[in-house]
Amino acid sequence: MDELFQIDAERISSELKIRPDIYLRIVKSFAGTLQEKITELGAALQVMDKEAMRRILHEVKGTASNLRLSSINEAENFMHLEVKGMADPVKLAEYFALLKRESEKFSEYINKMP
Amino acid sequence: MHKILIVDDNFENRQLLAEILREVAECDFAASGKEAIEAYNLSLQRGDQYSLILLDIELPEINGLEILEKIRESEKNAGIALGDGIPIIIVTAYEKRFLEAYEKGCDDYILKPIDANILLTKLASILEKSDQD
Repeated sequence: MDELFQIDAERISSELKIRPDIYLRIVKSFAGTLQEKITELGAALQVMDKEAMRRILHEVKGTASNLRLSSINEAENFMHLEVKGMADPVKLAEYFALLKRESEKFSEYINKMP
Repeated sequence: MHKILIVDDNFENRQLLAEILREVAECDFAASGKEAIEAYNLSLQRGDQYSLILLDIELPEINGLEILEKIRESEKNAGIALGDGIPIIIVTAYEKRFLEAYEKGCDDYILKPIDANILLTKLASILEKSDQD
């Protein structure tokens, strides 16, 4: 997950049967939403609110998977499984950092787009 | 053209579904259970009922299963038999939740991540059937 963020908009939009420019418009919108979700998730993690973490991660999962953003989806999945399982605070913090890094790479990629 | 109500609390998911359905339907949106019930009731009052509802299960306050129950109950009270009401497709990340939804009267389900081919095929089949009825 350390490689550069990439989105193959042509392939994914074709798979989703929508226009590439519309796909990218939705992806850009999600980049903003994801930043808000990461902030909410960080706050929930600080107080170990498992229900809030589960809900936020579920929302991220739904959209990231629909938009085929696999590295976001993968990073979300680590934290999601930990919340649903042992919910070890150290592991949760580690997985949160990973998800945050991926979302930052995603934002950087989006910001560089024309 | 058919008219579909998309119920999902996530803006990007609503947009994506509407784009996938662009060629087959006009879409209205509801971002919560409350909005979904209001849109459904309004469509009945206007005499302009939706051809189908795409209903996400995980919603804040009133979840998708509760909405499904409310709609089927309202249809039952109006003398509409189960199976003759508005077609409802549940959208969920977990296949096992479909069984619960099926018992409550949904017609079909679609799994997240959304597969456009599957969605369009299921939709075409349900809409074709309701057109014949």
